[in-house]
Amino acid sequence: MSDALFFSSIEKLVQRLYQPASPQEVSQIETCLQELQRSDKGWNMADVLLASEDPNVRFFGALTFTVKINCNWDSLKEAEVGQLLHRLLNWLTVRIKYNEGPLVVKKLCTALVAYFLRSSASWERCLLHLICSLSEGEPVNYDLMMAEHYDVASRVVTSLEAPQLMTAIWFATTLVEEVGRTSSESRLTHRYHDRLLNNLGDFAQLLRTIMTLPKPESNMTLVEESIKCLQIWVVYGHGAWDDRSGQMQLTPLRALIPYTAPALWDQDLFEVAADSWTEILGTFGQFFPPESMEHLETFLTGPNAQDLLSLIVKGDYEPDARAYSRLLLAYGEVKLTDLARQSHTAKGIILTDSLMQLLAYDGYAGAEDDICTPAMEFWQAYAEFVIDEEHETDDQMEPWVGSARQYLLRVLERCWSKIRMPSEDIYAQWTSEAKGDFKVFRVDVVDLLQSVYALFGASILNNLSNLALDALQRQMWLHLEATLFCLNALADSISDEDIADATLLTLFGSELFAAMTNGAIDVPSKTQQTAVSLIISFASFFQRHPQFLLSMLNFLFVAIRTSAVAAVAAKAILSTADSCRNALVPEIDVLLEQVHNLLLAEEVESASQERIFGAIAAVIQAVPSEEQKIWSLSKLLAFVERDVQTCEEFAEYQALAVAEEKGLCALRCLVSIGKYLREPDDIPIDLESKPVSQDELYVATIWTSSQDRMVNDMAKIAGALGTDNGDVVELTCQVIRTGFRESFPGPFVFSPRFIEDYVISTSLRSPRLEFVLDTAGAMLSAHTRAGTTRIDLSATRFLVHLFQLIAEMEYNPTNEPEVSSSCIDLASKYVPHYLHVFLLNPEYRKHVMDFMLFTIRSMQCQEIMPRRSAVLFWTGLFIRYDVKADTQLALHKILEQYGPLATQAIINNIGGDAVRSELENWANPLRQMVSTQIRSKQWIKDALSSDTFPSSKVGDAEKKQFLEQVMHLRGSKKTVQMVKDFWMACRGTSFAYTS
Amino acid sequence: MALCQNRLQEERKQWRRDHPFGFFAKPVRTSQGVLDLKNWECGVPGRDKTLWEGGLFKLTVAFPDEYPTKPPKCKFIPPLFHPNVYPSGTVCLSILNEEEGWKPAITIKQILLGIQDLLNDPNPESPAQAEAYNLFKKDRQAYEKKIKQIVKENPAP
Repeated sequence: MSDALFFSSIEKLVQRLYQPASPQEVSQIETCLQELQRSDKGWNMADVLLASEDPNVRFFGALTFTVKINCNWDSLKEAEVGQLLHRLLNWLTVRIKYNEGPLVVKKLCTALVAYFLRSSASWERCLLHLICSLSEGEPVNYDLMMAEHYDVASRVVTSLEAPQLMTAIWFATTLVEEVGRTSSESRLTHRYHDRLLNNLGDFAQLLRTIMTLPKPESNMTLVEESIKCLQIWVVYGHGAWDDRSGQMQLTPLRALIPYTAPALWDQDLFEVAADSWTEILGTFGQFFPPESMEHLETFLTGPNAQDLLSLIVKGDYEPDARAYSRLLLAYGEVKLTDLARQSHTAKGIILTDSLMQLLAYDGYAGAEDDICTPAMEFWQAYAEFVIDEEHETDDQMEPWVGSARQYLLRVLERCWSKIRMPSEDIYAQWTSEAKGDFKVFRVDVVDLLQSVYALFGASILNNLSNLALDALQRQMWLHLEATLFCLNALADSISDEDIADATLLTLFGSELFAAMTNGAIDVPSKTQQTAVSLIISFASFFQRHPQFLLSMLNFLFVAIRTSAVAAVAAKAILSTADSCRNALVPEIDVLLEQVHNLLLAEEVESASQERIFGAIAAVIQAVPSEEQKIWSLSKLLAFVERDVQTCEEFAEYQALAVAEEKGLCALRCLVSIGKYLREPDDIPIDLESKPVSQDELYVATIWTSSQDRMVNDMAKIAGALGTDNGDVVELTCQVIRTGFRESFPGPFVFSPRFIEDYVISTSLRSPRLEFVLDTAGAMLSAHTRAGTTRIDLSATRFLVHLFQLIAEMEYNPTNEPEVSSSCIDLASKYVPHYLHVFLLNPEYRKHVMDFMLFTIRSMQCQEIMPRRSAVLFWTGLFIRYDVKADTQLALHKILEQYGPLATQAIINNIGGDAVRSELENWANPLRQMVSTQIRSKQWIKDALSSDTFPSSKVGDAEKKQFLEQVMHLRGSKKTVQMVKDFWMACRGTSFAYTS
Repeated sequence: MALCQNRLQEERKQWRRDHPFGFFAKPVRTSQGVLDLKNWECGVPGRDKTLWEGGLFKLTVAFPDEYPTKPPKCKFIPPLFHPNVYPSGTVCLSILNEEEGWKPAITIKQILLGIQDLLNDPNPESPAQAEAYNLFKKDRQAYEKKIKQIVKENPAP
């Protein structure tokens, strides 16, 4: 095929690409064309295509040049590089003569920029060269131009026609965009920054010329593109030059900004100009030329801006109005300090008013109004500035502070309107995004309220309380919700309780709770929900003023029946009962009655039920007489037993899902009851006056029947749901554990015998065995505290069980890593208070030996949890304890026997086997042993020189040094760092972090 | 110290300007209403289409004086049931570890997004609590059930 034929067929192929075709066909053509582009004939192909009559084909020709430059640059010989530039400029000047469209011209500009990125050193003044060539209508000689016409930019630029000016702007835009995209490394090596800087003067001349054209209205697109281009240069310049050589290099760019100011007043150019200034202010605010700032202020305080503002107030967010709001906010952010300090001057008032007006539209935030959210951002910053200034100037208030504070009050008023919820119907129609944005706005308002509370204090509370009472009286429930929401936001900010209480007394003493409890009135669930949250937030108020408790609780017991409010209402009931338990003692029967009614209505979910039972238990705890306590608890247990019974019944009929739900609910309720029946931690302990009736044995006896009931309930649930139900096991353990913290007998202080039996009834096949073993460990710990009795018998039975379990695992921790870890953790609980149980019984000597080997094996296995438990166990063993002589001797013997092996395991981990994040754990036994074990030096030495030592990267010298240092540090904290360094050396220096 | 404060001011500004949906992060206030920039209250929502969807988990982020040279400490309040959260609530995440992945350029946004990722994608290599880790490894069904319950107890508002 001749070249002519070949190229004409390519032309046809390109044309086919622009005709309707199947995706497969398009993809085939594309692949084919790409291959041709990259072939040796690609360069010629670009020229031929650019000569075509068809603009699509010419576009492809220009594209081919870019592809060739990017992919096949290295195929060019040195002489060809210069020719290529000539060819590209030639095409550009020729095509412009023929009134080429923007697509092809822009693509040729891209090719030229691609050329610049390859050969910037020989084409530094690229923009001037392009402009000169455009002016001459053909490529000028670069070297000649550099030699003769150094300062001709002004002459050349003014001689250009609009299409040529546009071309130059496109080139200047692409140039900065593409250089901006290169990696910082290549920017540095190719010195792109410096080379762009050499073009800055030419760019400035170009831009000035365009912005001062006599008739901008006939060249609107050119002016628009030029304004955008300047913005791109400024943003690039800020990032690239600012930090390297200071402001000096930016000066020419700054000087250009004022040239774009007139565009703000031009209706056709406003949006582009405003967005460009917004961007420049945002990235470059502090360097904005003062002259332009004045222009901007003149604009923002002028009639055009006020017209746009009036659109925003109406919610007419047309593009110019949006652009204006962005510009105003960008200005506000940069000039915030001045705005606040001039808030009492004429100019300040207009500008600050405008910023306020951004919140004026009545539409819902997020759903209908997206300008108020960024506006809030401004006002939050404004509030913070005013607060900081007030803090710094304590004595004398500056004249501006008063007006700034007034603005903030007005903003708050607006916010109060804007956070009002829509009706439920409208809300249901919103998209999830709109709902989310609305919530975000409400959260922003909370932030603002919390900030300004520091300025206004109780007066805000007072205003809000009045608003709430007004809304209540007029039954405007969504107004009420907005107000309660604001009050809620302030709960944590209030520092002076007395002042706050004065306001809250009026509010909570009003008809608030009664009105919402009244079944005849349909209060929106959102209002109920916010009222409940308010109760939780102001729990301490109700502690101080118990006279409101009953009406408040009545409301909560009504609110809990609304499903959207139930969870938070149950939480409020619990937190109220917990914190006001003493005040509620006289109401215990009323509360039990409320629970009874609620359960009858079957309207309460398991999670809420759990909380309510906890609430009642908290009040029972405060009842002074044990008999009364028993009576009330008995009623509460009867409620639990309803669920136990249902569980059994459904299990019998194989309806296991319901059975499980009820059974687990009953167990959770028991946990909750146990937890809240505990004496609160914060009550003062009166050691002197122990009531006569609280004789331990007597108390233990009177609780027996309650306890038997609970044991029975747990057994029934386990019977119905099976002992293989992990949740039952876990929750039963939790019930048992609730009594561990008690120092006095009570319903949840179960007998050790019951707990032992429960623990040893498990086997390796039991689900959540770890929970059971941890419970055993917790019981041992509970019986090591001062004032408790030791439970050697339980410890012995647990130990036997533990030995059985590891035997079942065949002494291999990897068979059951989680159980292994729990077994070792349980064993750790024997150190030191039950060490005698562990070591002195001759019957268990063999088992103890097996167990010691098991822990050593655990330190070397691949499972992280047994490793961690075992190293903790050994750390504990190496500590010196004050125990009886026979135990001491037995411990010494066992350490003599297993110390070397354990040390080997520890050193192997430090020598590289451990993961980095665990190294501190591995340093600990080392730190202990060097100060307590006489033979530790020998053990470590042997371990370091053993064949099993994992690293060959450290030699004898390093090992010796490590040993000396470890011994020298005598267990100090510095050992940890040394261990880390040694581990690093053992792993090799090239180690990269893995975890 | 000044570096720490300046950086935190900037972090705050950036967060306000742009933060992922459903998250919150703000410095706490002293009783005088002054911001304590070194202690933040944050909320991480469970990611959509995961078990954690619909939950919001609160944590405190405490910045040391040496921040950003040293990482902040992130702690779930109350402690969260999760394999990589210590019983104290402290989050175990490589980017929060000075000796591992911490870099001074890491932003609060990246930290909180990292924690959000961690929720549904625990790292079994560095367990921080036995309870969640064991269940995650041994009984995935029970683990998932528990997560659902936790999400229910910590609903996003």
